[in-house]
Amino acid sequence: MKRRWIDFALAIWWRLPASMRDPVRALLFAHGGPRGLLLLRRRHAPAFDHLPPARHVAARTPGGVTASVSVLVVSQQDAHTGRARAAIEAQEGVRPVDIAVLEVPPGTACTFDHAAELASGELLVVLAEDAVLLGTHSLAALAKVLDENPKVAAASPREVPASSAELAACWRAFARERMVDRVWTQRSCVAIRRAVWSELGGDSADFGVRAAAAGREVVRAPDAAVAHSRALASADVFRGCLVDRLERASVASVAESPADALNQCRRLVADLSGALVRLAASAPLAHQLWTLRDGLTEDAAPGQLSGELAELDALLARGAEDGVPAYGRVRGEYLELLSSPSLELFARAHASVAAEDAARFAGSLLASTAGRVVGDALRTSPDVAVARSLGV
Amino acid sequence: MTLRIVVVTHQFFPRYYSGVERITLNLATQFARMGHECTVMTSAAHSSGDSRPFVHEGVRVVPLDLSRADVVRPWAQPHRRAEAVGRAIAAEQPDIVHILHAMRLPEAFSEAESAGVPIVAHVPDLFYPCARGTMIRRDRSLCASAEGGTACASACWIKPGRERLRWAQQTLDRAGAVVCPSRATIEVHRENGFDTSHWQHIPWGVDYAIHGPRTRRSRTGPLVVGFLGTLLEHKGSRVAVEALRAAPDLDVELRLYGGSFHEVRYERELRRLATADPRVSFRGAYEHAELRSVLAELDAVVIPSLWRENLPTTGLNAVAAGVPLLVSDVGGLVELLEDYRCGFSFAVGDGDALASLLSRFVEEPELLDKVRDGMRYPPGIEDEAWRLLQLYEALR
Repeated sequence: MKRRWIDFALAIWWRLPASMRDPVRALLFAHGGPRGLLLLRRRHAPAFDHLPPARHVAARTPGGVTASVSVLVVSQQDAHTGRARAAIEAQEGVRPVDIAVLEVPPGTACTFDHAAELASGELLVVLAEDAVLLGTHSLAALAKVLDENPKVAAASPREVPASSAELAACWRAFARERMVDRVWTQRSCVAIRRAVWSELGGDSADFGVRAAAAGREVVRAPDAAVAHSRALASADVFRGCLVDRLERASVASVAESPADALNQCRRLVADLSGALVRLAASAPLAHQLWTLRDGLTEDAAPGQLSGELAELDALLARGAEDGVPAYGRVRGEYLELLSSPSLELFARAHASVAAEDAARFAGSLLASTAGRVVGDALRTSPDVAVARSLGV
Repeated sequence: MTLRIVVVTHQFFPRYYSGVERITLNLATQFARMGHECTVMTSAAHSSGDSRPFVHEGVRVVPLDLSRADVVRPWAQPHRRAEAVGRAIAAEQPDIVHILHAMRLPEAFSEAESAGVPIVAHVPDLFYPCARGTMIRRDRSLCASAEGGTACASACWIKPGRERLRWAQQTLDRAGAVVCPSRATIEVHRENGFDTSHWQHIPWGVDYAIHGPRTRRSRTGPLVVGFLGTLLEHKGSRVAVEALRAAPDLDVELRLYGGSFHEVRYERELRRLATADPRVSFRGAYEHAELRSVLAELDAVVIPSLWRENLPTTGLNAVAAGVPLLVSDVGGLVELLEDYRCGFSFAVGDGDALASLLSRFVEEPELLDKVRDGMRYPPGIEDEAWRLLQLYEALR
């Protein structure tokens, strides 16, 4: 009732001409208003003089860089490099000796020898065309890490999901932030020391591994960041995780053979499809993942495959054995991922996720689990035929 | 490390949908993408109209059902307001309270400080030196200076001008970091006695997800100019209409987008002015998702603001899409032109000056093409979020 009266009074108030409102406002508030008379208001501005001075902070800025720096933007279409170039030009603290665009055919990765040909700097910063340096000191922070420590061969920035990133890409960036035990170089942006590259060779995919093997350091520059997102279909996530796992030294196999691993993954794909129907139209991500966990634990009836899950299943089927896929420890691996503290933390940030987005996300998570499981199995029991059928 | 962030703002969706609201939404969404929990705290009467928490486009919103805040004496609110704000902040257990706009929840400063939560204060407009928020005086002239608050009393009948200015200066000085998107706005505050030495200049970020690659509109008919925003007096849409009235034969089409909120009378007057001119059309509010298609049909965007704009998001979005700007020569608008080489300015409030600028473009269409070719890109929302997170991390 009170609310209604206030709304009514406000509606009248805002219909008054400004010239009438101002003097009324001055009258109302000149002495603290009606409530001021009831001592409900403090009349004077509070003084903070008795409080200790506030601690003002500023973002960290790296010091000067002595080495010469070249920046290369790897592009498949020069017209798309506008934002990347604008971000490079906005950088402070280091002035690149050259900024070049390296045009490569679609589907081709950048090789560092192309970059080294085009650029003259001692440090080479290689950026994807859709990778945008963030802030005004990312380039300096990246170069500084190499400049300060001669043992460092390559440095990568933190990767921030672009505003166009889908949930799975955000999760990949979030999870990577927590991988501290891995030697890797960011493919969207990496700074390398030219002298070390000339000695060891390699490209964005394997330079980090070569450098680490040669006793050099590959590090992350925590004060540098790049915005980037690559939408990956579940089948690509599967292949990426599979290849990644082949490089691992320690393996905890959950399948007897690659074919067994593929069979188990196919069963999981079918069961996940069944569980997807239980997703709420829109709910917090934690709730959606919980629903899927329940569905899988309660053995939901396999569902009709469609979209990316159907494509993933088709890929898995290439190396799987005939017959009814059986359940094994793969399901446990997937359920463990769905319950992992990292994913729980990530899920808390997402207050409302549509069923369609949650389904794509769950499919991508399944693909990563499947990639790891099959990769582990192929490492312990190499099977060239299966590997070839999966395109690796 | 993930953070729990509370962003406090004066108004929010679904009732209000202008620049600061969009920025708040974009920032909160970007923080979530980066894995940080972000909650928007705002006035219930100026968001959902209800005190129940709700989710808007994936962002959790906590509306507070409070009595109307006294913007003239922000320090003198009823105690129960402060208690409610304090309870709401405590319930969220935030690592950071980011006060994006303090107008309707000024208690957030003292309550966050009492709770020991670091504060980042944003200066999105001229609310701190001016109770009217625009530094436009009652007589509609631009306020050159608050003169230590005495001008507030003499020119705008805001008696506690001095106390208010002192409150604003001390409040911002208590924040761990102060962020302002425009250098011109920082300068206005410095001129009015604020210690801006530790303030950070972080421009608003554009959500590039709604923009495709820049394309050039092929012009066949009249020059199409758009006004995108709100039909409020200080936004100056009237200047654009008057420019067309001053040049009745000019081959220009003016499209006015946006609603008028409480200034219904102003919109009515504007429509009356434009009644006889078929070149002017009122298109109403547009959905944010439609922005790309709205901009794609424009040759230029006009921002005829009568106040010292901070850094208008419509301008940034137009630049991101490659559409040149025609702006009043005040505040952050001039900064837009300087930073992104994105257009031309005209004397503030001068419809004739805008009309002569428009007639130049009609006669020399290549002028706008040249601007398009040389335009720079404004930073993205990822950039703004990253820079703010660096501040948050430094404060913790």
